[in-house]
Amino acid sequence: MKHATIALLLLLACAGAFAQTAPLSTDAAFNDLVAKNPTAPPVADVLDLYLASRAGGTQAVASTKADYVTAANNTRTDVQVGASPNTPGATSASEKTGFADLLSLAVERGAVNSQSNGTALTLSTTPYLLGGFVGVRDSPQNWRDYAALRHIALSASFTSGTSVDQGDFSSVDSGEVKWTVLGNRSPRDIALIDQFQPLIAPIQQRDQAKATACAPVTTMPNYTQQLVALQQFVTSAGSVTAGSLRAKLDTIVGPQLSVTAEQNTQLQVCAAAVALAQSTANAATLQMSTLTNAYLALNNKQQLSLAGSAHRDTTIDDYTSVKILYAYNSAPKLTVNLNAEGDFNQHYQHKNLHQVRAISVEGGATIGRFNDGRFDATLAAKWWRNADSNNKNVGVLQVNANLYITSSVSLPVALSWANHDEANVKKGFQINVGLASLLDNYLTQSLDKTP
Amino acid sequence: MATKLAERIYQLTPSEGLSITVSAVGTGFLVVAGVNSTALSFPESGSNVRVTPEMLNGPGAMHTIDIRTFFTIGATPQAQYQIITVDDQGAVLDTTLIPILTTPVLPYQALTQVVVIIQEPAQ
Repeated sequence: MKHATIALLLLLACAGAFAQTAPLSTDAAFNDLVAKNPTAPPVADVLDLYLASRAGGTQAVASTKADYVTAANNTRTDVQVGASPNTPGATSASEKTGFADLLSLAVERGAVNSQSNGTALTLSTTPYLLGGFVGVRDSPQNWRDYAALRHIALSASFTSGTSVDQGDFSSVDSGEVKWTVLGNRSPRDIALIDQFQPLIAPIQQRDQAKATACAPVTTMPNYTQQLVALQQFVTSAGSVTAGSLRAKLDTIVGPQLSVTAEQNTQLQVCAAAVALAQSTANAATLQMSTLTNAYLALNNKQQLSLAGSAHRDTTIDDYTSVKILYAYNSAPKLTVNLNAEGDFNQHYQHKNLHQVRAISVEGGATIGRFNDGRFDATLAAKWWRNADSNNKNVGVLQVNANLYITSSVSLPVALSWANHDEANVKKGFQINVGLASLLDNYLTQSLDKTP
Repeated sequence: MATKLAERIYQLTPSEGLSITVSAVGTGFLVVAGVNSTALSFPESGSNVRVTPEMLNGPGAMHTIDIRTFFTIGATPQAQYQIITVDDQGAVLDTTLIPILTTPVLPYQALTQVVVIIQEPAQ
């Protein structure tokens, strides 16, 4: 009884120090611990919570489940997933500075600036992925040591019917290399992880309090045998749920659980300590999410990328483009882009064209996720000065919205208007639709999922 | 010599300890670990910590080593932690894989426990 009383006092002292953390109930803590590690659940904590629940007694006030914010990648407004604006079928009029860390895929249909309605399929990746840094080679050390390989993006767009409809990728219609000179917005940066260190101390204190509070419980009759039997069940099952674990514990512990008043007190103190430790860890995790957003927003306000691309064009001439892309991220949810581009004909002497085919500027503003993360939107404009077209000055205005089906898959829809109809642009209003996915954070998470 | 009673449950003599190595792929590496009142530091992937008999000299004959592994935002679908426990003779007792889950939403932490039971001294 003395140990339990001391443990309870310790626990209450800790609870006062971290009063802002809403404790999970005994049952909620049980469910949370199993749900987050179904292949190797923490059997000691799980057994303690089960025994406390069976023994009865006062349980902690149930809290709502931790309300995790959506992953930071989902708040990014700097990633170009689809084709560059020069590509037929592209759903964006202005290009963004960033790109996927590993791999992205986009299929777009329509016409913003193509000679006819087109369908574009764009694959983007980085040399980091091409270098085989996936799976076991995607270690924190390699992520840090080969960071330069993640600052270069390679993308290819396929717009011919055979490539989109029949999967024939033998002909690339445009290709781009992009290098991020300034701004690294990866949420896996070591510098960001280091910022999490202050969040660790409360977790360790709570786990230490838990160890003290739960020590008397381990001396209860049959405790070791129950623990071993529980672990053996987990091992044989491979993966468990809270329900299957409870059912097994009913068998292991048996229909009758006889505990003294003192043991019941010990169990309740232990269960409260376990729940409090888990609540603290969850709260710290939530803060990590907030810190990640702040890191991405504040430490990388300005981004600068250089891009070079080559395009097939059967109407005038194949051409290459050079771009400077600048982005200012004023908040986690707002990115302003300003780009400048020069296009150069490849066979200008042979076809009696100008060497400089066009110059253009692009501007855009992207508002990050709104309406519970289901939408983001971009307002963009592009102006060309053409040397080899009838219409020298061409402008496009565009409103582009992404509807997020899951945390990683989106449906981009763009409505655009152009003032002239000429080789590269259709006059009037156009609608483009597509399907895009940032595959490197593809985790099949429904937006409605909660932990 | 450590006696394995079940996965991650071992019986040790009072003079024995064990070593734990934690490594990760596909996620930012962040581990919070401890036993009794002692914090165990795993500063980077592949770090190894020896749990000494002194650390296991806390209250009770059973000691639980808590290892909280965090899956950070930006973790890939292939992300996972690997926890290897080795006894004082160098024998691998367990290799535990903690794979990333499609739920809950990132970031989240998983708690893994290694239970050590200290043998009663011979009378």
